[in-house]
Amino acid sequence: MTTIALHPAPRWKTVAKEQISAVGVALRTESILFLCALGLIAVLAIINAVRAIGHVHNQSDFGFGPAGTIPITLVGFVLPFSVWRSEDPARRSYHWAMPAARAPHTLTKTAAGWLWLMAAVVTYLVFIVVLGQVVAHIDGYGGPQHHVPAWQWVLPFTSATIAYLLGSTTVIASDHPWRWIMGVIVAYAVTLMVFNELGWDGATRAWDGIVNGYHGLRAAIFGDVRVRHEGASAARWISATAIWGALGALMLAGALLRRGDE
Amino acid sequence: MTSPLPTQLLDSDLAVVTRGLTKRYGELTAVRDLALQVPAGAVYLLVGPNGAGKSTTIKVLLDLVRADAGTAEVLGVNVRDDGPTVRANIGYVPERTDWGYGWMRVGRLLEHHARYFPTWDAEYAGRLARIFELRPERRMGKLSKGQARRVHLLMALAHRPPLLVLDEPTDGLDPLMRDETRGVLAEHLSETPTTVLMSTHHVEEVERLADHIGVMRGGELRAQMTIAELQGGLRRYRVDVPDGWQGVPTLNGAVLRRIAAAREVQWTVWGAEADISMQFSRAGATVRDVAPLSLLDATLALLNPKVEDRA
Repeated sequence: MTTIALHPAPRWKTVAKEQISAVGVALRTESILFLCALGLIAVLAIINAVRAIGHVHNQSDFGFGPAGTIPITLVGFVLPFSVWRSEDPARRSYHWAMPAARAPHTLTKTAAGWLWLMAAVVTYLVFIVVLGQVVAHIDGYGGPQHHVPAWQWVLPFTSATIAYLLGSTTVIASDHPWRWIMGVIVAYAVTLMVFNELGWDGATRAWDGIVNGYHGLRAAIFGDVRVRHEGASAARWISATAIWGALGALMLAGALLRRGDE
Repeated sequence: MTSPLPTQLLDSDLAVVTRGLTKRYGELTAVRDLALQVPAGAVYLLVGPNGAGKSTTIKVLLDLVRADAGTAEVLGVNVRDDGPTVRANIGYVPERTDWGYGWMRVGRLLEHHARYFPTWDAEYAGRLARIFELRPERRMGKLSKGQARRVHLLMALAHRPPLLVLDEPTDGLDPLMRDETRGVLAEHLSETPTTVLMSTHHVEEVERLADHIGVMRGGELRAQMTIAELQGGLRRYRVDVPDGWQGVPTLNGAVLRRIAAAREVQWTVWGAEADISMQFSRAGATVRDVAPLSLLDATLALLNPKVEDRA
């Protein structure tokens, strides 16, 4: 055929920048809600601190602790639903019709969402620290962040990332992610109950260990929220995070490489 | 003897070519052994009833759908080997109108689209936006079918691709906007060297633009030729027949449509006019009138599921 000058595909740098920007637009409403929630927490914490003035046994005890990871982990899990809003695989043809290789393009969009998630984690931590200082200034109580080991400050980043990987996997791979999520939870719980009822102690322990074991999901996501009772270990958190992070990355890779037709 | 409907083009300069393309969805074969040939610079009309395999073929060309067998080349590039380059060179209007991000405003979606196409002509995009009366502040999800279709047309045209792939491009548009769109397309083709592959049910609207046609039915390509060939080879014969007339057995396969009214029969037949007329005469019928068909009538005849008899 006659040789024509083909138009070039866009550079990946351009695609990445545009995805960060577009995902930012997609998350605008959620960002506003997030900031409103922080504002509400601030108001409540300050009111509580003011009411606590002069009551020695009623300090507001506000600050960052391992339990503070829970809300940002939940944000990490549901964020993919906003990143891929109205783009389940059956309706992803616009994304796929762009002049970019499908799997790296999907990964780029996922990474763009993750960057916004990390920005939310930073905002959340800064907010907690600043608010903790404000509350401490008001009621004269130091707050728990003074007693938090250094590695636990990293925990919100890793737990939100693991939750984001698992959430992204279901959203990218399935037209019905909530069905899969609920299905997995119900299947896990029912299996645990059956093992328990049958008196299969070994199987019950192994199955329960997926969530509550030394390397369980709970240790990866929450470090160990019962830190003050059982003693948290950085080694346990690191190994659990490595296992669940790798598992999440593998599942995401599988979802990216699964080539569904429009 | 009559010749079969052509399915091969003699043109060797092809912008789109598929060989043995087959796509199955479970038990259903959507496209079977397709050998599509779209010459460079042509406006190629792909017609067929719903479910004929047109949209599936188009999606294979964009590498949105992977074929189970066969190959597809667009502008000399194998779509499976380099989908991004293929898509960078195609202006695509999909069949569905919920394409794009429903939550995004029109203006932002156009910016988003522009960043993916380095050859985006912002001035041209602005001109098209004015012609199509687009409002950038509207959300895509709130647009009517026709408004969304206009956004898609702008997105397809504004990067001046060498190949336009339009799947029902005027679907959902009001008559005025259809006319406007035809004008925009004609102007675009005069300004920009472009090959067009268009699937449409509104054949009459693009009659003046199209120069090639491909007819699909049941996932197969039944005919492929230039419009000139079609209009030269397909004729309607008005024939008077005697009582107890047995027909013309030698025409079997070339008869695309037959309508009988009393002793007069109208035949739509593919083949050389002199040869067909002679066969009618030999069989005892009198040819009263021979007329060419409009593109719409020719298409309807080609799409006729009962090739032989419809009376």
